[in-house]
Amino acid sequence: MVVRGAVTTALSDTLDGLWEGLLSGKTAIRPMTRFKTDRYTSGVGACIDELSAGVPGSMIHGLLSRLFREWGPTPADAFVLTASTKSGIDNLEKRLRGEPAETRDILLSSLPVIVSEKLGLGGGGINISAACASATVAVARAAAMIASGRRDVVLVCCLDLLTEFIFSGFSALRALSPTPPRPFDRDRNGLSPGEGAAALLLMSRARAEKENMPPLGSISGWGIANDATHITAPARSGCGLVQAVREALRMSGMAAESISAVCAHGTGTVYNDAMEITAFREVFGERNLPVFSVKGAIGHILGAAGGIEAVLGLKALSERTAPPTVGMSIPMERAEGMVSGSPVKFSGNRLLTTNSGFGGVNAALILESE
Amino acid sequence: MEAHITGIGWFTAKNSGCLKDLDSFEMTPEPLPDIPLGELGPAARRMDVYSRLGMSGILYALRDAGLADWTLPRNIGIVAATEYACLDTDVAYHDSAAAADAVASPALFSYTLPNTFLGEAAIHFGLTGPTYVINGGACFDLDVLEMALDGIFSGETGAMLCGVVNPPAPRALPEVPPVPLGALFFVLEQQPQKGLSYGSVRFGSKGRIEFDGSEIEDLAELVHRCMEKYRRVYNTIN
Repeated sequence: MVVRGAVTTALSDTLDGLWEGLLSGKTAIRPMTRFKTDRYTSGVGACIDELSAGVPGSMIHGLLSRLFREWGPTPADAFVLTASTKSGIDNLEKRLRGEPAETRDILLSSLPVIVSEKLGLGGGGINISAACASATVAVARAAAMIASGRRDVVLVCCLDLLTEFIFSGFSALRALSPTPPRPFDRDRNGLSPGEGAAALLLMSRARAEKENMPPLGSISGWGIANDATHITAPARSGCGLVQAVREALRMSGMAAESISAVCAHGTGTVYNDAMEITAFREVFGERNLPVFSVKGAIGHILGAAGGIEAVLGLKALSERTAPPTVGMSIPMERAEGMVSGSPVKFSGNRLLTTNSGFGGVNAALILESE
Repeated sequence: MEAHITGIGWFTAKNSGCLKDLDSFEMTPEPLPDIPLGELGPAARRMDVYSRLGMSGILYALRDAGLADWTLPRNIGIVAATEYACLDTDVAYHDSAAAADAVASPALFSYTLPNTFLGEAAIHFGLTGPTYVINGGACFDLDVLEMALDGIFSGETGAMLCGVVNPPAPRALPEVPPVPLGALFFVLEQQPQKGLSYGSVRFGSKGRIEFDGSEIEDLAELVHRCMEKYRRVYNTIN
């Protein structure tokens, strides 16, 4: 069971603020000022302008402070699963420029320790790294640990920063959109990076009752699969995503018809979005269930995307509303009837959330509200 | 529930290969020899050291399990633990992009994610199961084995590779502590496909991992116990 969730993004510091922003069709993607972008194929991204790096600390500390500002106490025995692709990569950039920078912030292995120290936890922890599916995999692993009885409380905390390292890399891959992205749009032409963080507190049902923490929802199934096709491009057939979704459905004991809506990865790149719609049509056939992406509003937050989207997915279930896919105007082929630029009401209590990443990884979670 | 260890392989400064072919296992901070690329596929030439190391460990473990050759993809996953991952490649990529007139290398950028080599392994060895990297804890800690067992016992897959991949610490961060260098991988199967098992692992009553019914402290102990058992059984048969 997920008993608490929090997010911080460039659109808002709070879940309610983010939700309202999404419903209003707002975007936080705007011209970058953190570093010069004239050498790159785009000049826009979703930065949290107030994030500042204290010397010698990384911006991840500011991000975590924003995330946990109103979090409340966490059981001290919570096992910590962090998810990040590059953690304090801003500090590596500083070091390579000859500036002082805390080494510990650079190492992925330090991130669960940093989070534990911040919250006064002593249950141990590890970081999960699975590219842009990192947080989704972390939530799946947390659910597996609790389902097996090995743990009864796990904190999943995910984050990634928007740094020149990341921006230049996606520019080199020619994956950036020069304007805010248009997920699932006929004329989509790339992604925009963002930064942010999310936290989800998972407990067994018994522990949640003991702690008197009512659930926001549960993770009733998960699946993780590799395309085994290419290290950066998704398999055009969507084979890995189809396998992951079918595994999640099998685990939940439910048929595809039980899914009410999908929070997709929807980066806005030609190949990712085409792959996803191919996969969703393979699984759901011609049924036009609501499919949405939030990356047109908050950017692609890499390893943290899945965690932010899981928290949003639970919110969508509570509201029985799929938020608009900001940036989408004309649906791409085969997505007609699925994606929308307006909020869409739905019935039912199960939502599928999916993410895919470099290294051929695909991950799917089935969120269920009570 | 239990899973069988059906293959173990490693690449270290002391020796490299399949458990069945080796007399000892030791992973130390000693510098590693060059990694033979011949059996890692054509993509190996563009891979960084971290990726080549991981691919080697996976190759030897799969070979030891009789699973290196394949025709159709298999639902086998990989979870790898690493301390410094691809940090050296991060530095190389940064340097490629830093100069005013530089053009950042997209090929290098592709390898700045710790899990990229798992994608290479998935392609080369036909593996479609769950793949991810974990960071944290000491080199031979059992977290990676626990994660793999969770994946098998939850029904995600019937087989997992799990192990450690430790390339040298990044040259740009000379202050970070040294770690045992090399790659070590285990193949875990719920039902051994080729019939041979070194023994079984499961979560004991206290939640700690047991091999053949008794607790183990770390992955290095697991290798040694499998090695001792194999020698005992092999010598008995022969």
